[in-house]
Amino acid sequence: MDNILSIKYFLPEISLIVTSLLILPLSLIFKTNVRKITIPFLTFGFILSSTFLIMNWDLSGHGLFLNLIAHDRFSQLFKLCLLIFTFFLFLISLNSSELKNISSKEYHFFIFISLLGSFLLVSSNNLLMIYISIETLSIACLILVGYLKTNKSSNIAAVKNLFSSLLSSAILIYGLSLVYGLTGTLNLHEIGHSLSNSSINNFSITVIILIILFGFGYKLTIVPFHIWSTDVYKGATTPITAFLTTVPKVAGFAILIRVLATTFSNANFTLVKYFHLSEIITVLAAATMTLGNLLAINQKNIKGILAYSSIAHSGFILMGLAIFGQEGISASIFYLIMYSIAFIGVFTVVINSNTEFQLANLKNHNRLNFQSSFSTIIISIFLISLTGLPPTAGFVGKFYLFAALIKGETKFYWLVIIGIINCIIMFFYHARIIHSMLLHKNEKHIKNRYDKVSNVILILLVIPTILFGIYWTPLFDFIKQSLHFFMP
Amino acid sequence: MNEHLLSMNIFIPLLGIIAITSASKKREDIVKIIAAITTGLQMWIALQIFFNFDRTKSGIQFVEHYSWIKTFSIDYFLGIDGLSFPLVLLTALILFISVFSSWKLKKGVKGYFILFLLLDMGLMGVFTSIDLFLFLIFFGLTLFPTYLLIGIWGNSQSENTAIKYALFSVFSYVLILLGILVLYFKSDPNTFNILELIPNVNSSHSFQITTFLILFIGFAALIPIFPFHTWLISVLTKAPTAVSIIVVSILIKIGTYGLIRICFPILPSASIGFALPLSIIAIINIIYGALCALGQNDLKKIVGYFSISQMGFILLGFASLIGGVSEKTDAAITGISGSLFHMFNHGTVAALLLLLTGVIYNRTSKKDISKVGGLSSKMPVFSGITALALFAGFGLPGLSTFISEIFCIIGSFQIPGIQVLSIISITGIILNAAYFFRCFQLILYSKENPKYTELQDIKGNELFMVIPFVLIIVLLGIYPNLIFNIMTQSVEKLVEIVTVGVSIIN
Repeated sequence: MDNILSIKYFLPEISLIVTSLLILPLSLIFKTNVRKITIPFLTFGFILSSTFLIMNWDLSGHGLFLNLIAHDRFSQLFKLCLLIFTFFLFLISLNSSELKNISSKEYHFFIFISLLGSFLLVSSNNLLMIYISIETLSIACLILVGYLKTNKSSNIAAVKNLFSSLLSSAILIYGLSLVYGLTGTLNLHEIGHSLSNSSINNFSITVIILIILFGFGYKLTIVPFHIWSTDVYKGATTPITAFLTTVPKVAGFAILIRVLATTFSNANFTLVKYFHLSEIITVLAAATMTLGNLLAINQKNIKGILAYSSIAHSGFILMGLAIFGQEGISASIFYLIMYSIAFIGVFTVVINSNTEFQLANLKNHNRLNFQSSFSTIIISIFLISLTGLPPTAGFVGKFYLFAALIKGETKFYWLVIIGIINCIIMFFYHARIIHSMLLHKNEKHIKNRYDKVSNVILILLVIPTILFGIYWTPLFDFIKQSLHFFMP
Repeated sequence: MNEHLLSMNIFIPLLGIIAITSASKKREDIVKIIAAITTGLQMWIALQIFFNFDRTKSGIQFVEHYSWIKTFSIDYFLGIDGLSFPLVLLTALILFISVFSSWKLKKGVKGYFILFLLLDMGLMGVFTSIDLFLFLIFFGLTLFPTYLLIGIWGNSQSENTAIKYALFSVFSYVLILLGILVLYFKSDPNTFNILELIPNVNSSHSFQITTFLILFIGFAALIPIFPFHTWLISVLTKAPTAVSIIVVSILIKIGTYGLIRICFPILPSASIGFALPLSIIAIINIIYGALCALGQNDLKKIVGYFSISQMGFILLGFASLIGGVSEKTDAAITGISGSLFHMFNHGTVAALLLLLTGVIYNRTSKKDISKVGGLSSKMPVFSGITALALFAGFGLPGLSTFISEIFCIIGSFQIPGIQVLSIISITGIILNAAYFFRCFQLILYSKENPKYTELQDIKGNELFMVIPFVLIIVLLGIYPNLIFNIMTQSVEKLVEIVTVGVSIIN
């Protein structure tokens, strides 16, 4: 599709760009009561973007801007998810005590830019586009991490984030240029085509795939690249941590799935055998979840636990990608969405409670007693969903992942065992948070400052967590139907 | 109405939870009354089923079958037969009594009863699900409420016990999940329905062995079999009385129920090879539990080790089922009937003993029974009931446990391979008698403690709680057919299923 026609399908992104560009002058004009002007305006931007997204809901695929960007069911599903998640996180962060006293215009600007980056990332169909959108996302995230200029831990986190994202970008662009050198094209589908037809030896292709995977690794917190990401998560302000553990991760997994599906697999979503992709991902998945879980056990405060838990969950999601196939991908996507919902939910409670809760040492047997039983019940439901016990959506996610693994070949059975062991460990440290809220006798009251918006968001997040734990067929069918990638 | 009795049984607690949530925070008595009504209704339903149960039918009854998740062929499929109904009856009774045993609770009444009813719902669901996925959901539903009930309402060091319990049960949960998934994908067409899985798993011997081991270890952690038993003892000593009654009488029966419901009928070929190992495990449980109980002074711990020992007898009965399927059908039927009956009887006896422990503790605030001193002259009614409970513990003839225990032993005695072990198990009875006589002597007839001059005899609420168990123990001792009637047909069917399964494989 040529450039002019493409604009119609590009309207969600355009509305994001326009809104984000207008925030800055708007907040300069209305110097007093900035929030009263900008927040409705930004909300309008989100709604406009989602309206265009739903208006252009198209079941057939298009290649926008001469096939640079794919507009297909897969990208639409992820765009919708990302938009909703970011909108929720945006609303929640308004109530954060950490961000209260600083000017918020750039903050909102960068939230929009990173959303734009992830929009482009999930729909990239071209190596250059992937690189550009990853960079957009990374730089915006980088600034968000270091947003509290005077805060030391925020600054340290920003520097660490800078180095690791630079490193991963460098690795990524090295891998991408190798691919271009081997195949002579930047289009994902054509690369796959020429790789399978060429006489390049498989070993070098495997190495290149590894390099690209490691390039994505930092966004997905895959094991050798997780080291600094937890420091970043712990150092950044809590609303940003909530953002980093969900939105870039969802986008990262989306592009990984797209690359694997369009380049390295055939029409039935079976990974091409001779590149040893399955084996590589299996090992990465096992390492990621085991290491993440083991390190999470030793964490003292809730942010630390959640940071490592997020790594462990990445491992679980990778489990589904190792098998690939329709079952594997849809199980992974289901898990990814449910993980994000539960994570945003937990973070909403954390953001809305005072810093005492965020920094409390859970090992000290402090009883972190919420004043309202509402928060306790809600956060418990999200944590149960993260551990994967019924009747929550987290259980269904894990169930589908294990089902896909067992249905797959026998070579994945060892991963099943590792996954099972990890489920137990995962239960242990998630339960510790509930433990300290409910079981320790030492009384200490945590206050919540819920506004109405956070309450509504929490309820909106709890409903799918319970509902999809009991009846998930509609969502699962929707995900399965979304596995439709545009291939020119 | 009869066709929806099981659903009502499961979902009445949900109504109870809604009612409790809307009750005012200050009126804690209303919360308790709602819980009592809820469990009372369940008791009534269980009795309805008891009277309408078709004792001549071997298959499942009171069936409810609706499609739920079509793509995964998961059904909402409930039903009971002779294997599960005694446990449903026991669950209804124990839960009803447990509400009264937590009547004096002061802290967090609302939360306690909400979790209690959630647990109730899970337990009822586990024993009535025919669809294995449904079984998993309900089983998973029991984990968190139990964890919190132990942790929050237990005594001083209950937090670690709670997490210990939770880790063991999550361990068994994930293994059972894995085993069930393996069964699902092996069957053709894929199904979670137990009835269709039985003739369906056309599998190699090695597959059956692997799956059997996965499921067996999963259930073993619940039963609890020897190396996994530690959690049960901690839970019993730390949890509130009502919760420890539920755990020891019902929750651990999920393990044994799972073995006869899932492992043996679906994986017969692996099962028959397992007769000898299973009976060795049973003997270890019997002797180890009894020896540990001999050295304890805390009556709750004694009940815990007693339960471990009795679980051994139940497993011995299972061993006679899988050892005797093809040649010694009678022995198999005897053994498995004994096991099933013993599951019921152990539940009542253990619950009665724990309630009596609570009575002693309320009066003397002492856990150590050697320091309590003789109570017989001051509390005559209590002494009579305690004596009966202790005698029932080691299976005095005329009481219900005697029959079931003897059936387990007779069944296993007729199986050639495990005859010797069956004889050894009799020492278990002697050891059981030894520690129960010790308790008998310490609690009732030791030197009176001068500190306790004024002790009130058991009465009112406490008496109301123990009377049903006393009646059941005596009644079933005289007329065991009340329960045997229900089981006979299903047991014969089970033996037949395993026999056929074995012959197909061979």
